Amino acid sequence: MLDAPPAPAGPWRRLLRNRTAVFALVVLAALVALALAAPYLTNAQPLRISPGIRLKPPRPQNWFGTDHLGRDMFALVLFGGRTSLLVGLVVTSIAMSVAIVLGLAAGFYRRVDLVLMRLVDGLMAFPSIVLATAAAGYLGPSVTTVIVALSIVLVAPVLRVVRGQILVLRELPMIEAARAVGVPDRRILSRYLLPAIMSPLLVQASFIFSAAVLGEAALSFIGLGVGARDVSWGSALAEARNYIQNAWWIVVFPGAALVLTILSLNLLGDALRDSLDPRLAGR
Amino acid sequence: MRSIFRRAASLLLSALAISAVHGGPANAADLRIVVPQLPAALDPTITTLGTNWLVAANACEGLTGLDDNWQPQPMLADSWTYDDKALTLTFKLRPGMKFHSGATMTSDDVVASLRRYRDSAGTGAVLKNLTSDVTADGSDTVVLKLTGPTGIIPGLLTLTPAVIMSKAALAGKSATQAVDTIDCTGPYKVTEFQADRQAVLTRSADYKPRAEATSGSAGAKKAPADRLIFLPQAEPSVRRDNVLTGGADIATTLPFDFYADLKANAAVQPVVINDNQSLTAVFNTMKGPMANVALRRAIYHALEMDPIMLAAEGDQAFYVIDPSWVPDRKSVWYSKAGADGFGTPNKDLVKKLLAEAGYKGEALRWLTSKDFYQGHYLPALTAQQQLEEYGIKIDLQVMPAATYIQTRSDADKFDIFSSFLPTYVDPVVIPYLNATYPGFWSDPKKEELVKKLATTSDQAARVAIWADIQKLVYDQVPYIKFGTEASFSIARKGVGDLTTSPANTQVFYNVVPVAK
Repeated sequence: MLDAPPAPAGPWRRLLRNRTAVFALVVLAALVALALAAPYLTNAQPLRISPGIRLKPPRPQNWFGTDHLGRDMFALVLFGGRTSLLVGLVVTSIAMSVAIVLGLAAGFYRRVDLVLMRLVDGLMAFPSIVLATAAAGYLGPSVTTVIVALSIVLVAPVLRVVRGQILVLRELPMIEAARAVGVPDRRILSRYLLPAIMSPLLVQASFIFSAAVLGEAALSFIGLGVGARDVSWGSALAEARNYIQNAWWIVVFPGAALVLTILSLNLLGDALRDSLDPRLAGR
Repeated sequence: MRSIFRRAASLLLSALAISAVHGGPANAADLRIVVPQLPAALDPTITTLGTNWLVAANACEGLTGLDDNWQPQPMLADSWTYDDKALTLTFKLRPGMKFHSGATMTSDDVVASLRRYRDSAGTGAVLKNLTSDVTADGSDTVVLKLTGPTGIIPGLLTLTPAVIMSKAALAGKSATQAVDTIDCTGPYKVTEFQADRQAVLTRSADYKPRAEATSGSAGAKKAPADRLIFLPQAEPSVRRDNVLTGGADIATTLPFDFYADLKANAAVQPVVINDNQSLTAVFNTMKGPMANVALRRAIYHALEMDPIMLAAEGDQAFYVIDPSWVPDRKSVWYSKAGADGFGTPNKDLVKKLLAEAGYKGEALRWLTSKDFYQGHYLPALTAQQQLEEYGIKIDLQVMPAATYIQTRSDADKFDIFSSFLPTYVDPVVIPYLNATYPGFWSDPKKEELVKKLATTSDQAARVAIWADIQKLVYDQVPYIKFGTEASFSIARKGVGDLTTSPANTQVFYNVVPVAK
């Protein structure tokens, strides 16, 4: 009697077998842990100006050195990470929530689709950074402004993904059957359609998170991001750009943190996409 | 989506790398000067911000010009006569001077320019107080009718807002409306101007230099460069790199953190001008919490000036903790009067003064701009930290330069603003002393002393009056000084006759470009 072939590995197992994904998860977890533990890892206040110790290279008293105002770079990177990652998380949550609701409506109801997608097309016609800059410039620099500006910009691409998925799924026989037996639309959307699109949404979430962190860094870099009372990796890099030649540590440490975060999120997104693709399940 | 942000981020970073000069092709005899920003409008009469006078300082002239020893010398006026009985000051104009439009300068043009200057904010108000009218007496003579004896007007007329433009160019423009083109008599004329891109000044073929020896903006203006090309670049590292790569000849307003490396670089010459200007903060003495003198005194006594200046300048070799409101130590007006204990905080006195002021912890709106990163922003940021240790809350409002200029003119919109103050030809023209200048300091004793300063002719007596004014400033604290900074620029090796006096830092018409 022949043995049955082994069941294909589930998506999460496939993810954890992917070394790149594991690396990305470990790096992200470490960055988040460091950011959360910032107050316990350093006594230095990130924005404390101490001109007497300005531009000191990495040393025992200041592991990442000090900037042109004598601010401790280790504290700046840790506390800046709290801001940057928080912005990423909140923007992702807002953008995904709004995009899911609107995308479900657009994909399911043609009339809503007609109106909504024209608005989205208009929004996407603007270069994203210009739109975010305009919003931030109007509202003034602050963490809240950055969150609002990036949320507006990042809703559109996710909305299009959700809408596209729903347009396909709503034609499935099970949906037609549900309608035929009188299942309310709200139940169809929440019980049938939404769970079916969770996998691509998860992938999108990682990319949106990455875009939000990078967007915050870009806005802060040009002076339209967090205000003077907050610190982020972008604002740290903005202050550092005149010191690349004679104080490399001011650029390298926040830059490395930003690069590691973005790289990890993108690698994780790629790995999620691969592991959640059913066509790859048998491999 | 993510690729768009990646591209945007890399574009932003590369834009801050060595950037190509956006000035178009330059001749070898051009002088390309990279500056932090260009003025939004070229008309110097409508603005009290000195950095906005840059282009006009090189394209225009006044009746008098300031030499490097702070003395007024003949420029568009060949001579002047003061009649203390008739109370008139009569200027004899230099004949045959032509505006850039080709029109010949007459007394009508001078009268129109000076009347407009009298109506302007800032130093124009000083001329208004000292004169009752400006009239023409023939085509080559201008008469100022004085309200009282005074010897300061020739010095006042060296200031850039007092430049002479053609009557035709001024037609219909009040002292607050910018002229469409500045039609002046200087050695260079504006041939191209795009705010935020470049200002191109081309040597004027009709210009006749004076015969006297060159000194600052007095004497012969040689105009050795074919063109002066001013290029705005907000990032100091990019300004520096423009010169290092040969994309520009001079880069101004650089941080001193660049000094050591640039001094060692054989391709460039550093230019340091000591005692360049005071870094200051001006209080709104008319409205709001800063109208309370006890609160102003509290802030003054709370500040430790050395860390503020060190944060701004980066190296103690390039600043002085100096209370003199006239920063140039070579000036006859230099004084430390009234400034006992300057720069050293007094905690107990601060607490007492805050209680006396009834300060309840309201946030004080402090206007500043990163467009003047070292001169405005860094001192304000450092002062904010010091003040907050006493519970004095500061709402630091960082804005672009144009917004800052506009906002500070509205007494309802600020409590404090960052500023800087150079040495002036005469302390009576210090804009802070003018009650219409933002800050709006109005004090009967001040008015009396300023009037006395303007109308006294004996120099020793005037110096004593100035000392009394400074004592009053340190008592009433309408503004505070953090310290005196030097200025730092670089030029390519081969650029000659660079300005080295704080009297004429905006003047480039005598600078020799790199030889072909």
